[in-house]
Amino acid sequence: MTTQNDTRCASEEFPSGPKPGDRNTTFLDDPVSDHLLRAVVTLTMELSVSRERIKTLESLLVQSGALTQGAADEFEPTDDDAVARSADRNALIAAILDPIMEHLSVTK
Amino acid sequence: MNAAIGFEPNHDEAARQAFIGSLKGYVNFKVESALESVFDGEVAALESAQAAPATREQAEEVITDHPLFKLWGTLTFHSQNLMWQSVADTTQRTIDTQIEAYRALASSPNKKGSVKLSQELVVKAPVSTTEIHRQPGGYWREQREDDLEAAMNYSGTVDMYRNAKGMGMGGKVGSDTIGQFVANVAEKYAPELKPTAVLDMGCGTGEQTLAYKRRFPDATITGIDCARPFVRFAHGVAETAGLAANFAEMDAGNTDFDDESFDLIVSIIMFHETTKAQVQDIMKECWRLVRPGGLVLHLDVPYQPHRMPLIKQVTNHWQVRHNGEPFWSGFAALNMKEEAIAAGFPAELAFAEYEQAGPAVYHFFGGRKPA
Repeated sequence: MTTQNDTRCASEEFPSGPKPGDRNTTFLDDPVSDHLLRAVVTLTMELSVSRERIKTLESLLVQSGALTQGAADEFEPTDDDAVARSADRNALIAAILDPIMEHLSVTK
Repeated sequence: MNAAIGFEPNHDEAARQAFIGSLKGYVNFKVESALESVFDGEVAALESAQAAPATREQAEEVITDHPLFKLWGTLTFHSQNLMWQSVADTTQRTIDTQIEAYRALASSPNKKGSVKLSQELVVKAPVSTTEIHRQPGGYWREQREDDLEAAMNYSGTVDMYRNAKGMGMGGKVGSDTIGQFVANVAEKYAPELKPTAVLDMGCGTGEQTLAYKRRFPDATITGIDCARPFVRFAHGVAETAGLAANFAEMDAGNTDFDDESFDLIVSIIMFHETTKAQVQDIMKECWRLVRPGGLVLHLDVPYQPHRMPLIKQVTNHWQVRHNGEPFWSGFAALNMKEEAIAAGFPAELAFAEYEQAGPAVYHFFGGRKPA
């Protein structure tokens, strides 16, 4: 197997396309907006995957008899567990928002 | 262990791929539908009726600077990136065992069909030069001995792609629904024909080729493609299914077969990945290969301009520039009945029609050779 250009192919019927390997073309007026939007979509995909996995685990636990249907919705964390969860939430929010907050906090 | 070829995503890969299917559906239906309304509004707001766009190029002037068009573009582009990344996860995780399975099937003394690779085949543009659909590496590149990678990636996307375009038939990965549809149309166009030798041109993963063996079990089935990883994969898929089919690495416009070797010649969405010159070569080859009384029946996209609103022509043409579809608009502009006649088919036996299956409409063209 080899490759060659088909010289009979006129350029007007075979216009230029994307360069091989190009994954970064942007379309919005500010390219940063493209990348932020794409990041949000990608994160949403991962959220969707995680939700589906949790649903799978819940279904398996119900099937195995380890949980009754709806047990997760009725779950009340212990006090220690609630404190640990709160700390995790705060750390996640800080990790996302601290850099921009600190960047904008510089006084003249 | 029985060796088996196929695309097998795990739980999270399947969830990711399902999300991308839904995302593509959202972009193709909800965003495109909003874009149609915006386009109509922009046209209505033009100062005079004379200024209303009459061609795709004029419609592009009206819409391509609109922020919603740019949003549609960036979401379409990104959903394509995500799609290829997500199937690559499955492929990379399973490729070594898939290649082992292929070797076991291809070397089995009990195998039903055959595979023939070619050292002489010349892969032509655009397949040789373009990443069609921006598939990383394109269709034909090989990264390793007995490579299947390109075909595995393609196999993982094809139904996701179709369903998200509203052209799916509810098929799961690897199902043969489109091939069954082509077989139905063949029986409708040539009810008296009982095929004994079927040729599937541009057979790709071979999953659709198997539909013809299932429909015409006594016929000899041959699939050809110019992309070597696909020819191997097709052979593996057929042997996994236990169906006799022969696959070869071959150019549909220049095959090794004798004159009048087949009584049914088919293809599925092959022509729009070629060129005008290759369309002419392939149609002439079909005329040479088909037996008297036989049927040549090709399926491709139904996006001929006379059927499409201007805004859809604009979004389709965007595929040329940004989705690795160099001949998309060029193919749509051809009159395939005229191409069949130019290749030798008598005018009264040549055709270019549209056929519906559920929500999907496809363009069918070809002809018959007089008995």
